[in-house]
Amino acid sequence: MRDLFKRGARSRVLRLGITGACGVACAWSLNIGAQTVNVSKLPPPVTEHVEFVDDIQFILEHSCVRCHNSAMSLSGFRLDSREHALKGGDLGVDIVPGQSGQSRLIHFAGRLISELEMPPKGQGAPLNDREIALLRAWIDQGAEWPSGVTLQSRPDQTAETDKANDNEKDLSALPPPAGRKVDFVKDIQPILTSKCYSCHGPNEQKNQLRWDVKAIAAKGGISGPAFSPGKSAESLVIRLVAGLQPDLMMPLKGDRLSSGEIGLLRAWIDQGALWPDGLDPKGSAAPPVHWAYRPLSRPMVPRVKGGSWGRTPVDQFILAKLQENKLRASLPADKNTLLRRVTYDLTGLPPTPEEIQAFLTDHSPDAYAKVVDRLLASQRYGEHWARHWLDVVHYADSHGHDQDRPRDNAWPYRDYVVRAFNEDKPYSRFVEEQLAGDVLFPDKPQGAVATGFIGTGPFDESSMISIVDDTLDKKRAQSLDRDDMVMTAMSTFVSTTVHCARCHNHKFDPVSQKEYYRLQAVFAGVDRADRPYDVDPATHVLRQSLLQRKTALEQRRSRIEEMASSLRPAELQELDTHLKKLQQDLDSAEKPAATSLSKSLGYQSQVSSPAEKMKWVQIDLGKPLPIDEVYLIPVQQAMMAGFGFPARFRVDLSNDSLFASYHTLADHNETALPNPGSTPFAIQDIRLTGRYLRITAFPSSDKESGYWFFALAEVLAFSGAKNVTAEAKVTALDSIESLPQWGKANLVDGYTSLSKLRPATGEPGGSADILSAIRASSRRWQLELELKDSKSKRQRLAVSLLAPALGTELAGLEKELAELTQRLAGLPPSQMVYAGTNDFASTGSFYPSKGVPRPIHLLKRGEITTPGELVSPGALSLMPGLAADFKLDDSTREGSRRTALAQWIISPNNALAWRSIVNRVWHYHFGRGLVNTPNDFGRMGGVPSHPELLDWLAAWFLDNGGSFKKLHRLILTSSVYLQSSQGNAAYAQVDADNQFLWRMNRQRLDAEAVRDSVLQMTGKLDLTMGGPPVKQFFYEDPNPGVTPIIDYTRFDVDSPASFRRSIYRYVFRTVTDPFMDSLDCPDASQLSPVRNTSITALQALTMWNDRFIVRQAEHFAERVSQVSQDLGAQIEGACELAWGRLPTEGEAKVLLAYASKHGMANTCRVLLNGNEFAFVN
Amino acid sequence: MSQELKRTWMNPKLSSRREFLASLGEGFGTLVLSHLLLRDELLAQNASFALKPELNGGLHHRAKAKRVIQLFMNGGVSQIDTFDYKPQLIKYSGQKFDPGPGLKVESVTGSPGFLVMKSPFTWKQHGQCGRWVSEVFPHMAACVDDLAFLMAMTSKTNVHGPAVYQQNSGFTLPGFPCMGAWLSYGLGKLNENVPAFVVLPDSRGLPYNGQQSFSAGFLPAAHQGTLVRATASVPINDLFAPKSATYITESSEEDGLSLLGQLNRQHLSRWQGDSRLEARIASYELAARMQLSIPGVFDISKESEATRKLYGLDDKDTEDFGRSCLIGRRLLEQGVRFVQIWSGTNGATGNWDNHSNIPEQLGFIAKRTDTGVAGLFKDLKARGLLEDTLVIWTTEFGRMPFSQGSSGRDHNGGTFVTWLGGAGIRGGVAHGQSDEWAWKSVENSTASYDLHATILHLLGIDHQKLTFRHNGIDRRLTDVHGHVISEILV
Repeated sequence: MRDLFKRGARSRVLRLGITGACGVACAWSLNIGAQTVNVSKLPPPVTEHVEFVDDIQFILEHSCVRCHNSAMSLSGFRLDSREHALKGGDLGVDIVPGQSGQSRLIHFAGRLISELEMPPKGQGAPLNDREIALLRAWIDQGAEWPSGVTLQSRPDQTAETDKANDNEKDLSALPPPAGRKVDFVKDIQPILTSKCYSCHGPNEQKNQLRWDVKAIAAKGGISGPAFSPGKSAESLVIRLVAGLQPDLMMPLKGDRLSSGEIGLLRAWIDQGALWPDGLDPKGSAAPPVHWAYRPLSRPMVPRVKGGSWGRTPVDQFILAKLQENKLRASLPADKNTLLRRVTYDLTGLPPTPEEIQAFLTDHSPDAYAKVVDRLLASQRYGEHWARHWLDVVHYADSHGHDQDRPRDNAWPYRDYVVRAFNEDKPYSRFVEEQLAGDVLFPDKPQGAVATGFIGTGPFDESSMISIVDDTLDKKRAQSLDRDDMVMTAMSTFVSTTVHCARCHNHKFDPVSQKEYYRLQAVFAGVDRADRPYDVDPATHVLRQSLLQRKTALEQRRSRIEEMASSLRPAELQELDTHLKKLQQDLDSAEKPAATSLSKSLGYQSQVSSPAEKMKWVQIDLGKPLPIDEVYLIPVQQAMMAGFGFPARFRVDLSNDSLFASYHTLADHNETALPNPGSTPFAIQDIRLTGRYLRITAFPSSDKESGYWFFALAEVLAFSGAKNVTAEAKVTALDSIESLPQWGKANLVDGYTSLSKLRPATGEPGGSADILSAIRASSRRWQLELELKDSKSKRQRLAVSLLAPALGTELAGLEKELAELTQRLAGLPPSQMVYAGTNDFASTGSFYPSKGVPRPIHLLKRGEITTPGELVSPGALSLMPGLAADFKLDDSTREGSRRTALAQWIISPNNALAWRSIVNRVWHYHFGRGLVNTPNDFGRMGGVPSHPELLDWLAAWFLDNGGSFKKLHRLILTSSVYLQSSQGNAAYAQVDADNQFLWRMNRQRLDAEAVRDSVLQMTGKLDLTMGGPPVKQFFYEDPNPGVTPIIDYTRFDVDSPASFRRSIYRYVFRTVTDPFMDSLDCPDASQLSPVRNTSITALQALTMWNDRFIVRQAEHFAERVSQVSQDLGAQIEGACELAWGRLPTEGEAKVLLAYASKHGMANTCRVLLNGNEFAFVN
Repeated sequence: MSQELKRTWMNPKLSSRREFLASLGEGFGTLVLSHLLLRDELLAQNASFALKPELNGGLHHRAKAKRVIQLFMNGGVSQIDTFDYKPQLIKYSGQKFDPGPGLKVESVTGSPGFLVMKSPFTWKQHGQCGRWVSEVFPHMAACVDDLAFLMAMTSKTNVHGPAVYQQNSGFTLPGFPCMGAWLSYGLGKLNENVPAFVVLPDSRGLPYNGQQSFSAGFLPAAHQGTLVRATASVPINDLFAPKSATYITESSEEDGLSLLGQLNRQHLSRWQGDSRLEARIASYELAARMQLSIPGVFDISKESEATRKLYGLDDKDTEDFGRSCLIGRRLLEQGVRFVQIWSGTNGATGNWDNHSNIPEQLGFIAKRTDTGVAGLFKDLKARGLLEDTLVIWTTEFGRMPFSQGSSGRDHNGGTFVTWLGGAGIRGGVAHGQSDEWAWKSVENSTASYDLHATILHLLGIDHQKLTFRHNGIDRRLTDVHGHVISEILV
């Protein structure tokens, strides 16, 4: 065995011709997870021959086998037998015979990887250089291990002796025991709590030790008993906290124990280590349950003195807290302020002068309640509140990442959210539809649209589609893609930062790494892609039933065909042999390499009607040349291979540019060819001479109507090994000439639509390289065609040999299938929504799961290189009374996993979810949530300012069917909402943040509100709802390979697209609108539960100078000029529109002076920049 | 900085100055306060102070550098053809690349062949330090004694988008603040009349990830990079009203801003106790000052002939990038804290992503940049600016020692080269080493975390202490990694 390894290593060395191979191998650095291992730091292997029994067994038995044996195989690794040792552990193979530099055992023992040093700190002395050198040599020499030798752990006598010596030596260094009677609860437990529990407590049990459970503490962890009653000086815990073991000072992190504390511990041990019973935490969850994970408390509404202030139960909770903090509520706001506040709050728009007038003159007691009802019934409400939701779920109309491709079908989800709010969809239904609408409500087309939620995050197209499959980069990207789905779902619905547990157990919240990966398993069968849906529910239902029938028929057909294929009569023998040979040839044919996209796509003709009978493109080689081979390379558009490749065409060669006489090299005019995809079409063994090469395309004969065109990426013609089309002149009947993508010259520019083919001509080897690659590719294609052909031939033959009844049935099937196909084709076309889906057309290396979940492994340290156990789908176990396990009937269908998660979230027992959503609603009404971290209810998040109110609201919302509109009404009609926002210096001293709500918070308008308000004020706002997003930018690159070139500064601000509400604008992730940016419109790559409201000089410049504002100021002036000729009246009108009130006398005076001098447009520009417009009181 | 203060200051919700002051509680000196306030640019009343004079502008310890200029070569510069000389490649050129048994050779865009490919360029040793530089960088080669080279930089990923994010923000995903935003957030401005962080993209277009590469991520928008198009007629968006708006005149502008101030002050008098209202008034005053200070930066007509030549403005190939470098210097002089200059756009060509033809493509883009980079460095040195300015030249990853097609190279995150020069940097040294093939780093590997930690260190910042709480995590530029590379520091 040993020799074999040696020989293997040597032969590789010889092939490379390198001497000193070991030096080479040792110098490699390897990636172990995120860490690079520097093997050069290791001692070199010894040069002499190593014997296992003499040299190695001792080391392993003394340093390793104690934790890696049959009884205790830590990290799944055993070193007690050869078989186990070579098999490796959870991290993979630890010993690579012949390669000590590659062997993890050496990395660990050599202490190259912090946190994975072996033996671990405190578990034995590090191996010395000689031992490492011996181990390395043993591995390099083949890791020989005589059969039958099993190892046993042997206590380290030397170390024990050393320890004993140390003891004597160091005893004087130990702080003396306290000189009094020590009480465990009073004296010892506080030390353990503050210094030990974080690693040896309820959440973590480093080295399998926990100090909060009596029995475990007494038994000790991996290192054995931590203390021996009566013998403090010999107790391990004392040695470790006192620092007698220099490499292992406890605590590893945080403050050390004072000598006083050590003294107390010593005294406690010396006095017998008395530990009263009954102190162990109940169950495993020792600390009190964090507020967010407790069941909803359903508190009573407090009865408070002075409660007449409050109109609603909400107010009683607020008042109680105010009184507790010796604060009083503010006076109610005036009617102008109130109307402007509630109108912005519910619709994102200011009130119109008519609405102001109506409210001011309505003196009925329910005047305000009527306003609230009117606003809630307005379609503008759904638009505004949908925008909040889209922030939370990071919606955008493009993929993001480096290839920020337009995501043209994201908007149906956006419209779904708008409708959901306007229709007051119950919250539980809203959650169910977004996670699993397609599964739960298959009869409702909007069910599929709602799963746009799953698709909403960024998509890394380069990594998910373009790069080679099965690389680490690819797998990493897939895992991160799922991470975004998990993070979005759990942040949005349960305000929990589960994503912190991707690399390790959550540091603060009770979320284990395993639970995190169980959540990844929920999304393991779903990807972000376009999925079809029918707008019309009746069509949807019909299509579903037709498709079901079609699937059933197709299954039956395959069954019959299967029967046919399994026939092996003599008639088919010859054909079968031929098929087998073809398959073998194909399997051994060279596979084409995948590449990334290039900008030059090739040549494309104009689009013509079928009346036009042909098109051609022609290459002038400059002079007559002998031609041996010609290759037509199809266009690979971003999502489509073989784009525009003609089904019917001819290739001719001539010495005459007009082709009066010519040789035909290939003729597929009569027999249409199937689309070759990305494979070149080859014509070989030509041996003809000519100067002009012409490709003529004909319209497809099977298409009776429809327009046609043709396109080719590149044409190569080889004269010997030299490509003679390079840089040749190209002419064509017509060409769209849309550079840089399309142009005649692109046909011979050396770029396929994938990449550059070769360097300039004449580069030695260049052309030959390309030629052989093209040849291989084209050979493969021919084989595939032939194989397909022969297979269908065999099928036909076999069917004819079946029982006649089956043949009849098959014919019937075919007929019905044809009818079904026709009926399906006759349905109105489906639309697409970009959503979560398990079925879509494969592109590049991106394939659908077809509903079968992919296996999900726990990834140690979050690294794809260190997969651990396989996990099953599940949710979180942090809430008592809410099971994390999904009781799935059929876990093999991915949809059932998503359904289970949705049902876990909306369970009435999921207090977290119900608290989360009412807090979000509160946040948008008051500018601050009752918990000020709406996406994080964990220990590092905010603490509720009014915990009882939060629970009361959550329960109320749950009891009221999860109706948003009812919740809004409750909050908006409360006294706390109606307060003035006026400041109060004395109260600011007590509660500067206004967390107790002694006044209303003043809010700065957000980016969308600024834009939409301006449009409403100028009368330009277009209230059309829904549909594809409007491009408020100049779009330079309608058909891009990568991020399109878009320019906001060249957009015509007077075009109709400019006047739609901002929720309908096209949101690009990487190319954002500078106007919206400056007003803190959030980055759609991140979840945005709270918007920043910065105030910056760049924002001032934008509001003052941006083309949109500057132009709208003119429209604004024009609108008020229609009200009256009188400048004073115009100013009053403008102020009412911008501020929701008339100007004071003083304001009117200065505005009039300015308007008289500089005109109304300038005056309106000033109004749009004022603080009174920018803030809502 | 105490834990308590750090957490208070990190709270993004405290936008009102009054709330802010109140939340800080007692016991902090006014110097600390005013420094912290400067972070939110408009809450600052004056800019001419430092946290503690002995820290020289630093946040946690004495700063050696006050400003940074970074030259980012977008697309993945081939280390093998520029700074990482490997005789081994010459010896085995044309043979199948086989780094040894058990080592998997991955190629993300699918290189066929895997034939070892030597550099097509000639190499020489330069300077006192004897650093090897290929012929593509003749001007940079003259500066090597002032530069410190990181010869074994590594990237977590081999894909452009994530890798460019990694080098800018420390994360492979979008949405995280880039280094410039962190510096703006951590250190504030040197001069209140100019932005703290300015980005000059390649004149032909934006790099991979577009503007996301210089995003403030979850930090307040004030910290994102200000995009300057050095050669465009409007270098900074919205600095002035569009010319098409003829109703706006010089005097309407002046009177208008004054009227705006008047109305806003009246509004303020009615609504007491909200410093955001004051801040917004100040923001318009600052904007007006920026209108005065910024345009001059782009007027290079008064630069001497010698300077123009030094930056390569006399050659049509080098003029474009040279102009960015020259404007970069002028921005630094105006007090911009961090200038980032990009070479290379996104897409398949026009950058350092030389998949198909190293000799032509790399040769050309190297020529485009070499004069400007070296000119900038020499100019900064001659003007004494190098004393407290840090210059960084970097890229997102390196390239493969084997061929793609016949003369291109595929992406390689295993090893690449970055250099630093200027404030606090020891010249003429090299840290780290790649293997014989320049395929993987083998000695003293460094990653974006280490580079960022080192840069922050030179600016007086402890990279572990500059944090911002987002979505449940105290985020850092260096994630949970990063070591200051002391070997390259003076």
